[in-house]
Amino acid sequence: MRAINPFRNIHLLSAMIVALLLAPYALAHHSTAMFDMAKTVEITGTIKEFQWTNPHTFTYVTVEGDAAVAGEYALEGMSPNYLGREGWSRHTLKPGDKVTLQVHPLKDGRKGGFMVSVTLPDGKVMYNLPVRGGVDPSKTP
Amino acid sequence: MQTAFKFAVAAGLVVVGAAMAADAPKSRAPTAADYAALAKLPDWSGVWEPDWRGEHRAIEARAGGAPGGARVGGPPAGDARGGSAPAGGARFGGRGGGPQLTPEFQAKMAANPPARGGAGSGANCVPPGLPGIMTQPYPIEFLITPGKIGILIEAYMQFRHVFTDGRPHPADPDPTYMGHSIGHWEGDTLVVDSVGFNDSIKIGGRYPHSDQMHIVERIRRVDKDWMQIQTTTIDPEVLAEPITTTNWYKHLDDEIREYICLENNHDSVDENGQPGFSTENQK
Repeated sequence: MRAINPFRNIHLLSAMIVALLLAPYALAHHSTAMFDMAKTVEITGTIKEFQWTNPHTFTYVTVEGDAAVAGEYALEGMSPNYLGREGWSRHTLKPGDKVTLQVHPLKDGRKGGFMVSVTLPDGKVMYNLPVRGGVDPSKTP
Repeated sequence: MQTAFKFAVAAGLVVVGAAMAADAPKSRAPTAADYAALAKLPDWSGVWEPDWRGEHRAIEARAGGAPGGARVGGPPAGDARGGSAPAGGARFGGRGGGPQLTPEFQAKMAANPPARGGAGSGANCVPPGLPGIMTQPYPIEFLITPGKIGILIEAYMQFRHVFTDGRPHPADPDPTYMGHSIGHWEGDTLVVDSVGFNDSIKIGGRYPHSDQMHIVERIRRVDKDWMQIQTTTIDPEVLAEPITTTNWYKHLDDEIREYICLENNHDSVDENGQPGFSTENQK
């Protein structure tokens, strides 16, 4: 897991700011107190399981590398109800997919967090957290 | 205060009415005329999503409307851990100072102040009840039938019944999360009056209520895309003035989806408001 260089990609930076602004507004079910919403980290790994369930989707990602980062990450995501209206389906993430994810990490240091977005094997970016105005950034360049 | 007076009168009528209606059946077979009458009501088909994205606020701002009015969004206080916003995220009358409390209630609260920003139990899958349940970031749907309107609420998979057959409230309703709701039409506006709330329901997400609390909703489809709900909380023992908030709902050509909160819940909140999060695979 490494911190994102926010200047690497200005579009990503914008999306992150938007996500930061809106994230606390998006969760019906609970607050975001256990996630570090001010911090976004990037992880690259292999999808182990994608659970299309309420009140939140859950994604388990296997990350390889040195001992500090390697392991299984548990990522909470928006509900299937929300994501289903935003172009996701239960097939969006499949076991074995190699993906890169932007994540608001857990504050307590465990391997997990809230999914901001995911870059699919074909390069398409799917946003998990809502963005302003209901625009689906996965459909914009 | 005129509104309070009207409700005092209404409450009196309700008591009398309830006594008279004690033996009335809880339902009756609808007639063809009942169904024909429904056709004259406004079209509320489809589902309606609370404007948590702020789209209507943006429309108002472009039109030069007053920003900073009531809004939907923000962590719904009825269920959000650590959320301190009033239910539905609506502000109180734009004054920013919280609700106007009666002197008696204010003294009571000064002696025993409620916790500010106390965590709700939504993380434990307990729904917020009225009015917070009406402004979750999930759509609602109205099922209009003879004598009764059902409100389906996707969040927490909740439902409400609004009786429109002229029955009164029960004289002594059991306290519940949704209360007991009766409604009538004023032109294109459905006016819903609800009473009988349990102690989980807090005024402004913070203050306890008395058994005199009424929540009055004025529901109207404004145009093709938008529905407006004005929600007024009246409690003569707690509030010196009623609180009114306005929330907007966008039309979606969609259906209410399943939402079983306990299907795969990793979140929790303890009695001290501390959040918990399980990384274990529960499936």
